[in-house]
Order: sequence, then C-alpha cells, then structure tokens
Amino acid sequence: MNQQLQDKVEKILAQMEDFGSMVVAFSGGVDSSVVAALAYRALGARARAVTAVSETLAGRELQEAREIAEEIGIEHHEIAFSELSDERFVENTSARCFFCQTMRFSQLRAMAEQLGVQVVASGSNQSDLGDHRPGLKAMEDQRVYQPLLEHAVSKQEVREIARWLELSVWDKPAKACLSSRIPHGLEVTQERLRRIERAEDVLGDLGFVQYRVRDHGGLARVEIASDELDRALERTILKAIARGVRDAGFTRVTLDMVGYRSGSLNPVKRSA
Amino acid sequence: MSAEEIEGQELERIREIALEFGLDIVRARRQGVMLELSPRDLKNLPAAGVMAEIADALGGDGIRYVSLSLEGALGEEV
Repeated sequence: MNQQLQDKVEKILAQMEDFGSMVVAFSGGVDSSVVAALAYRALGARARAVTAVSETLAGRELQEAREIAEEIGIEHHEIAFSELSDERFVENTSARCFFCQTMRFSQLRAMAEQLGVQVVASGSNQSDLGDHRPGLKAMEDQRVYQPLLEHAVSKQEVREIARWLELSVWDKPAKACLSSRIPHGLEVTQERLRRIERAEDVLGDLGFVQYRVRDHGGLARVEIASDELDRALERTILKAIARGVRDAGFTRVTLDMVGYRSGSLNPVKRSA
Repeated sequence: MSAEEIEGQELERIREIALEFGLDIVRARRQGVMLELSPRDLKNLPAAGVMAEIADALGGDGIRYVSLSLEGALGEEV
C-alpha cells in the first residue's frame, strides 16, 4: 500500500475513533468489509456490522456476510425488511435503488438507535460516482457516513486496503442486489428474484466467478465474465447452463455474446 | 414482451455477418433491445473474443444486447 493510501486509511481510522461508536451497513462484499474491518480496528466492540436482509439478498451472499463478519471479529446483526412492500420499488423505475436504500438505511438507523449508536456507515467509494447510482442520493439524505467516498478511495484502492487488512474477500467479485438483474419497467417480483437466485447458484456451482442472470421477462440472458466465456462456450458447459437456468424457472435461456459488464441494464448515458 | 421472428432479407443479412466470423445461425429473433441468435449447432462455436466481435457488428440501431440461444443445448429444435 503506498503512502498516499496509507494516509487516507489513517485519516479514516482517526475519524472513526472520534465518532466513538458505529454501525456499518454490511453486505459481506469487499467495500463494506473494509469499512467494517477499519471500524473494528478503530472502535473494537463499539463497532457493529448490520446486514439488512430482504428479498433481494441471495442466501449465498447472506452466508458469506456471516462468515466474513466472523473473520473480521466484528459483532454481526441482521435485520429483516421487505423491499417488495413498497410499490415504488416493485414498479422498478430508474429510481428503484433510491427507494431501496431509503428503506434499508431507515432500518439501519433504527437499529443503530436501539444500540445507542449515532453513526451509520456504508462502503460507497469513489468509483461508484461514475455509474448510475440513485442509492447514493438516499444515503446523502439519510446522512450516512461514507468514509471511502469522503476520502476519495477508489475501488482498486479498496481492494488494496482489503489485502493489507488480510481480508479473504479482497478479490471478491462485485455482487449487486438481485433486482439489478431485472430491466427497468419490468416489475420486481418474488418469483423473478428467486429464479434469478437459483439460476446464479447454478453458475456458481459450475465454477464461474463473475456472472449475472438478467431476467428479460422469462428469457434469461446469462452474462459471464469475458475471461471465463471460452469455458462457458464448451458444449458440455453450455448444456449444463441451459438445463440449470431453465430448471431455475426461465422459459428461454441465452448467453450474452459480449459477457458480463457491470450495470448493463442501467439507463444508457447520452453524450452531449 | 414477446420475441419477434426475423425473416427474409434481414435474416440473410444477419446470417452473412455472423458467418463471416464463423458462426452459422439458422434463426434470429428480436425481443425489445435484444437480438437472439440460434446457432446451427453448439459444436465448434467461435471463441469468446470473436463472439464479442459478432455482437459488435450486429449491435447498434436499437440493439443493445446480442445473445446466443441455448435452446439447441436442450435438445430442442433450432
């Protein structure tokens, strides 16, 4: 880790110590794991990690969150809430993440108050600013402490810090919530979320690392990282993908010919 | 949203482009911004890099995603 990044980490740790206690919104991904690990380093038992468990969180992700919290040593809590109870979320407009994060951080704030904690932190980082992320606005509104964003820590730097902290998730691929697999305009439903989760479990079981199953109304468009795509194109693997994804509940199965790209369903940015 | 079968000259144009890169397709469908290509068979498909080039060549003009149908892998007619 270079001196500049070391300085950023020192500033974050000092800031966290000043807060006195903290609840970290914790998904078990590399971003929130770094924030949780730094908070634990700065505050010890006065730092807690809280995972908001909802319909859009895959069971596999929740299990991994539990494991990484244990690895860090931080006290881990789970709170349940339902995104599908909000029609504005179900409607799935381009503002979906705003409604979701508003609900999520309201729950986290309530949990923090129960624990006597004033500060709720998230793992948003500098690289999130370049993408379509209406959820960031919700976090601003909720006055969420975003140390990685505040200190201009990029995603690559987050991974460097994670490595420095010896976190096993330092190279864990990004995993957005399951609703991000449903194009805007198609309702987010329990049925769609569960078939996406089952289909992605199939890909994980086949040994793929970075993938998404995009749900185009029953038609699955499977995205697999370009460096894993040659393996996916082997006949036996194609058959396994086709059968597994169909059995997960999709009527048609296709393989995206470009492969995985983050936010491929996000609105297209228009050039000026 | 239902898929629209692509036929006639438009299908021929797509077939020719795909064939230039070594992908032999027998059917093409369009669903919204997605173009779905059905290969003649799933043996000897072009490499991933070539697949991306085909997608690039067929993309644009309202097509955001180019995807390979896996119906053949299920033993169904393609």
